[in-house]
Formats: sequence, C-alpha cells, structure tokens
Amino acid sequence: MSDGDYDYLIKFLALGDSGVGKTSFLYQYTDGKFNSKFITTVGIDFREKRVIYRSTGSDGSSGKGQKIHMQLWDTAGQERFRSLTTAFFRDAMGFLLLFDLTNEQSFLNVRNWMSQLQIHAYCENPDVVLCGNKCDLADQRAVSEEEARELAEKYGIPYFETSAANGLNVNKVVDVLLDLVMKRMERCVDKSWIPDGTVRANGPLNPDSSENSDRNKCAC
Amino acid sequence: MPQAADMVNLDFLSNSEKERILEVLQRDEELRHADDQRVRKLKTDLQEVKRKGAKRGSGKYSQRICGRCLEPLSPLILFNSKCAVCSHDVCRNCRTILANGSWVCNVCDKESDVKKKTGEWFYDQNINRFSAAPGHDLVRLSLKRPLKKNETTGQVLLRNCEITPAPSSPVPQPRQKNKIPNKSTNSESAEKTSIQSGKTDTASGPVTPDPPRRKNRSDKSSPAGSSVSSLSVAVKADGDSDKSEAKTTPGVKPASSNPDLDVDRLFKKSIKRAPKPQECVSTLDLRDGFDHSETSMGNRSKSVPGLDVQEAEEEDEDIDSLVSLHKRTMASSSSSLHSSKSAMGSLMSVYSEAGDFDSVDVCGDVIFSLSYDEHTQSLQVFIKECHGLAYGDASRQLSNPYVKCYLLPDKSRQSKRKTSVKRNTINPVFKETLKYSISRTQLFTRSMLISVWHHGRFSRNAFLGEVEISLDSRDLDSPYEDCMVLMGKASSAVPSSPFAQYKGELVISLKYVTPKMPAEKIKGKKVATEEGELHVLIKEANNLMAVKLGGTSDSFVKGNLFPTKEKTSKRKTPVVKKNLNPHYDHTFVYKELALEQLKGMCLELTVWDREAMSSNEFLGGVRLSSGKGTVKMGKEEVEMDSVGEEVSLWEKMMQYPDSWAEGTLPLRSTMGKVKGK
Repeated sequence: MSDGDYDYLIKFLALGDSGVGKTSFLYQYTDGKFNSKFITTVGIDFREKRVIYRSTGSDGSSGKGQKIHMQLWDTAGQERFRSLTTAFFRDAMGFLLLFDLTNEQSFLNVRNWMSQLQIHAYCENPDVVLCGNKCDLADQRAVSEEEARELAEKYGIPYFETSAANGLNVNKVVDVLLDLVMKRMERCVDKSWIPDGTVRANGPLNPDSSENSDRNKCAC
Repeated sequence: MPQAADMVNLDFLSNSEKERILEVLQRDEELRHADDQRVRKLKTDLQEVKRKGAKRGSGKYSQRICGRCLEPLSPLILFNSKCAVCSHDVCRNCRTILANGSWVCNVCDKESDVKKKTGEWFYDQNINRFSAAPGHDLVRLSLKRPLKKNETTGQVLLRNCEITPAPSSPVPQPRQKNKIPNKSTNSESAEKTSIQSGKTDTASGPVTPDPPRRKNRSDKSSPAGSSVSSLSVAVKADGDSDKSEAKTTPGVKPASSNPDLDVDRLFKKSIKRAPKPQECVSTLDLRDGFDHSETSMGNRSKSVPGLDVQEAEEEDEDIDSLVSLHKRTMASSSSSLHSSKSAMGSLMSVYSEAGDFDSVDVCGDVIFSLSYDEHTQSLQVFIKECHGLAYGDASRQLSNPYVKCYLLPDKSRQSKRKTSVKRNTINPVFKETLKYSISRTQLFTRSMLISVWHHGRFSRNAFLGEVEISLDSRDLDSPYEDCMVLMGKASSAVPSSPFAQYKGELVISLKYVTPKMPAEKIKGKKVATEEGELHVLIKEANNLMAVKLGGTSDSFVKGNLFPTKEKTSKRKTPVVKKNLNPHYDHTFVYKELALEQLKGMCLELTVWDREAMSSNEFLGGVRLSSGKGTVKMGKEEVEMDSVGEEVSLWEKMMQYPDSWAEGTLPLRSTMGKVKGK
C-alpha cells in the first residue's frame, strides 16, 4: 500500500463532534463496510486509499487519470483530545466536516468547528465539505436539509447528506473534496509560475474559478 | 493562532492510549518515508529534463533555435513562440498545452508539475501562513527558530516520543512543568509533546544525548542527515551571536530541535517557555567528540574561534589564485588530509576544469563495472581496460592513458579518483578498483563520470573521452561489466545551463520594510528616513553538495546587492559546520533603499564551503531580480538573468512591503554572468 507508485499524496482530515460517524464514514469509504458498534477513536488515526482522479475541464472534457494516494486522517471528536487533534489540522489539504442529522447539538457545533479550522488549518479558508451523516435514520432526523444547506451556503462550502451505514454519497463527498483541492493546487501553482494575464490570454475563461475566487483566495 | 504541537500536553492519556497513538504515528512515518523517496525521484527527473534543455538563462545561441531541443525554429513562427514563464523561444514540439488553451515550454511545465506532485504548493502556503503572522518581529524570533516547511505534526510528535525512552517505571511522576522558569528545566518542552511521558528527568537525564533521536533525524532527512545534530554545535561553540533574547537561549538553535514547535510558538507569544537546555548540554558533549575526530583528520577543518579571521580570502576565485592556494596547501601538506596521490592530482584538475588541455578526436571504449559493497559502505568502481583510444600526443603517435572518476555532482577534489598511468598504449589494462565511501541512499542522486586522459609528461594533458553513468537506476548488487563508447566533453559542446546540475536549494524570506512614521523623521538627524530597508532572512539550505571528507560541508552564505552602493553591500552568515542541510537563520539588512530602486537591483546569494587552509569551495548560488535589464556588477554591465522563482520571489517582496515573502530556490551551479548589450 505504501509503495511510491502514485502521482499525488493527498491528505484529508475528518472532523466533527464525537459520535457523528467520522470513523464509520472513512471505514465505509476505504473498505466499503459498516460496523454499527460505537468505538471511540483514540486521539488520531488514519486510513489510506488509492483512487484515480480525472480532472474535469471547464468544457466538460476529462484529462488523463492521475493516481492519487489518499491519506485520510480520522480525529477523535471528544473534547479531551482536542489539543491533539487540532494540531493535525495544519497538515491536511482538505477537510470533511461531519455532523449527525439526528443530533442537533452536533449541527450547532459546526460553527465552532469551522472557526477551529480557520485558526488551525494551513490557510484561513481551506477546502471543506460539510456532511450531514446518518441520513438513513430518517425517523430520528433532527436537522432539516434546508437549514443545513443554508449554513453551508453561508460558509460557501458544498453540503451533502451522507450515510456511512449504506454508503450514500460517501464516495461523492470525497470526490468533490478532491476536485476542490486539485483545482486549488492548479491555481496556486499556475499563479506563482505564470505571470498574470498570460494564463487566460487565449484560453476560455474558467467560470468556475471566477465564481469561487472570493472564498478560495489564498495567501499564495 | 494555530495551536502548537508544543502545546499538546499528552499527560492526560493513559499508557495504552499513548501506545495506540504512537502506532498511528509510526504508520504515518512509513507512509512519509515512502513519499520522500517518490519526491526525491521527481526532483531528480526534473533535473534531468532541465539538463536536456541546454538553454537556460545564459546563452551564446542564435535566437532562431528552440530553447529546449535546440532544433532550428521554423521561420513561420515569428511571434508567440516565447514561453510565458521562462521567455525562451520554443518550437511546437517542446510545448505543453495547458487546459485553458495557452501553453508553456515543457521544462516549465514539468517544473510546475513537480511543485504539485511533491505537495510543495501546500507546504509553501502552510509556511507562509506562519510567517505572515502579524505583530511579531519574525526576524528576531526566527533567528533561533528554524522553520522547516514540510515537517508535519505527526513527525514532530513521533520524534518527541522517541526522545523519551519507554517508560521505565509505570508510575508517572508528578509534574509541574508549566510553572518552571526558563533555565532550570531540562526536558520541559520536549516532554510536553511527548506521548510516552510516563517517565521523567531521571530516566534520560539532561546530560545524556539520546541516540534514538539522532538516529531518527538521520532517517528522515536527506543524505547528510546523520551529521545534522553535530554541526549546529560547532556554530554555537564558535560564539555565534544571538543578540535577540535572553542569554539562556542557545544562539543558533540546534538543527535537531523541533522546528514545528518553534514555529508554533511564534504564535503563542509564549516565548517564556524555555528552549530545551537538554539539547545544549548534549550538543556540548557532541562537540567534544567532534573535536577529536577533527584533529585526527588533520587540522584543516578545525573550528577557528574568530569567524572573522577566517573569512578573509575567499573573494574572486580565479584560476591563478586557486592554483597558488593549492600550491601553498601542498607545500605544507604533510599534515593535509589528502593522500599524497590525490593531492598531486588536484593541481592538474584545476587546469582541466578550466579547459586548459589538449583535445583530440575521441574514440575507443572503456570497460568497467560498478558495485556497492555493503560491508565497507562503499561504491566500488572497477576500471578494467580501455580499447582503441585516441593518441593524446598526435604528433608522436603516443598515449599515456589513465582514468579519472568523479562521483557527480561533486566535482571537487574529494570526489576525484584516479588510476595509475599506463605508458605508451592505446589499449591500456588497468584492473584497478576505485572506492568511494558513501552511504547507499546518497547514491540515488549521483552519477559516475569516468574520463580517460593522456598524461603528457612534458606537454599538456589531453582529454581522451568520458562516459557518465547515472546511479539511480543502476543495479549495484550484481556487478556486471559494461563496455561503453567514450564520448566527447558534453559541457564544452553545449553552453551549460547554470541549473544543469542539482546543487540543492536555498530557503529564504525577503521583506521590504517601509520607512518609519513621519514623527521619527523629525527626530532623526540627516538620515534619509524616507527610505526603507530590505531584510533578507537566510533560513536554510537543503541537499548541499558534500565537499569535505566524511560527506559534509561547512557552509555559509554570502550576500551581495548590486549595483553596489558602498562597500558594505557584502553580507555573510556564520559558518554552519558539517551539515548538508544547514540552518543559518541569519538576516542581512540593507538600509536606505527606496522601493523603486529595488526594481533595478539584483541580489546575489552564494553558498560556500569554508576551507580553513585553502580557498573556499563554491556550492551554488541564486540571483534574485526582476529578471529584466542589466545591472552594474563591478565594472561590467551584467544581464539580470534571474528565472522562475528567483523573479517571482523578488517581485512578491516588492509587491507586498512589510510582509515576508518566502521561497525555496534551486541553487545554480555556476554564477556565470552574461554581459549586457
């Protein structure tokens, strides 16, 4: 698993309150399995997975596949591990912020997690995807899709309802995050290498990038 | 502010929890290790691609050839043939079309590709975020706090775990670390992060240097890692300055400290915490050890207390001075490190590097084998024989051939090995083994240059041909005989690019400090307070070339700002001994500069290996400028041929006054200047 035959090492990190299903989510993503028993994560852990990434250009064409080795950091949601887990934020390129659709407090805490990210991540507006997990437990739902979507919009981040139990949107979420991070990478590198004005001189304007530029502005 | 790894107090964890986490960290370490290999390969490949495109920066070449493949450009392409990044004219075959329809040349494309694949883009931002922290005098702090940009929290934690040996007694001792004032504690901050903090001061007392940690360091860092901890010592011992803070702090932080912790500490303003005195002590121990080894090696690299004294004579290294220095060295060389044989050779190489030799039409081949001997940790080059060599002395139909090897990129005398000279033959049989003591991991980025020479007894030497074998893909375990056709000197045929050889990288930060408030202007006397200052923070260098025995270098960085205003434009860092990844953390300040002026200025930073008894050895350099126009250097107008990051960093500095622009710049292997028109 850890041989160097890949093009990119991409590091993501899952965060959110205790018991929202971060570990299960990642387990579902990497192994396609689910265990309903609750095992609290001790501090930190990570899982790995290889995927092929095809960038989608603005014209909808897809580039050649890139081999991605993903390192998915799992963090303990419990408060007592906080100082440890937040120290790992800075090493992640993208974040999966989970809350539990059946637990309103975990949703209210999303705000706190976002501000933790702003403080500890590698830049003030890292790529984040918000996940309302446990959407399979429809009868216990405590957070409506609208209010979750509203919050995500406020932060300018994508929102998905997921289920680590049946796998709904699990792959989708990681793919979306990967796409965001890869796009940001392109922007960062091209910006520092290609003098302004020449990048788009004769190419089609990327509507996507201008639209996102507000929140994706970064220090580089 | 980012929570520091050094604030992670893990005392609350139970032992089994600590073990779990340690296990995770170790898995992470494995992953990182594999990734390091991959990254190194990428960088080597990039170097290879750069070498192939010979034109870069300098050029005695016609405008009408492609800057990459050197084929003539089609006359149809009259405009729009310049790469937007490097400004070379490039033919269609050497272009890469970007997603948005524009294009760059394939070298620039590869360069940005490597930036992405290595994750550099990410680490750059990470570090920039830290250096952009407001309200701190970063210069002062970073003087003693090296920032290492791609070190992860996991790495730091793991290292700290390993510092602390496994708990010897299961009973954790009570601790009140946080309240202990500066000097008294020993392992305070180290243990703060440590996971296995069940044990305390008693177990690994302050005085004991811990082998596990040092080992760990060398594992993780590049080739020269093993000597990392040693050299910071020497610097400190030389009484190097840390004027900034409490005298209890070591002047230059040992390289083996935890940069992340330090970085993060910047943000906490909690500078109260003591730097680990533990390390001070252990470094002293180390130094003793090193002094011994130095004396046994001869006193060339012995540390001299007065740095200024040794910095006298490294200017303007032309051949003459090199030669005379060599002569001097040899005259007194009974104590020199060189075996007499190799010392004799040096004089000649000085000439051969300068191209002072006869050239002949190269022909013939060389038969050799390469193998690695694990037992002696050495690379063995077996030179068997040559066939059908050219006559070195054509008029007399005579050849006295010998074989000379370099383990590139090191072309210094330390890397040179020679066979004996065979008389009057063009089919010499040598059957000699030349050895290089080098760790196997270091070989990856090297290549072996085997050249054949005619030894002219009364005339000049003549070059008979050479072959270069890159070692990264060669199987060194099962030696097989290779017969390779000798080639002419590549370097003399093609104008060599200053980036052709990988010389390592220099990490620096630039900041333009705008003039002080007007209030101060009134108070000030006649000083031109309207003009600001340029701060150049020399942080560290990576993967420097080893030129000293034992595979290390004692390096320092010299700065020159052109056009020279006054004599004082020259700046130097202290020497960092025995380290190929030295942390200098030294700031050059250039005063009375207007922001406008900087556009037409050029900053040269060169890295040198300090040689006590002879001339210093050039290790690489960078030239920062806007990349356009010419500048006066000495008496000549010279083109500002900065490229890539050298330009972008300089511009970033001018664009954002009062904030740090940090960058990692590849070192040029030559600082050859192009005369302006």
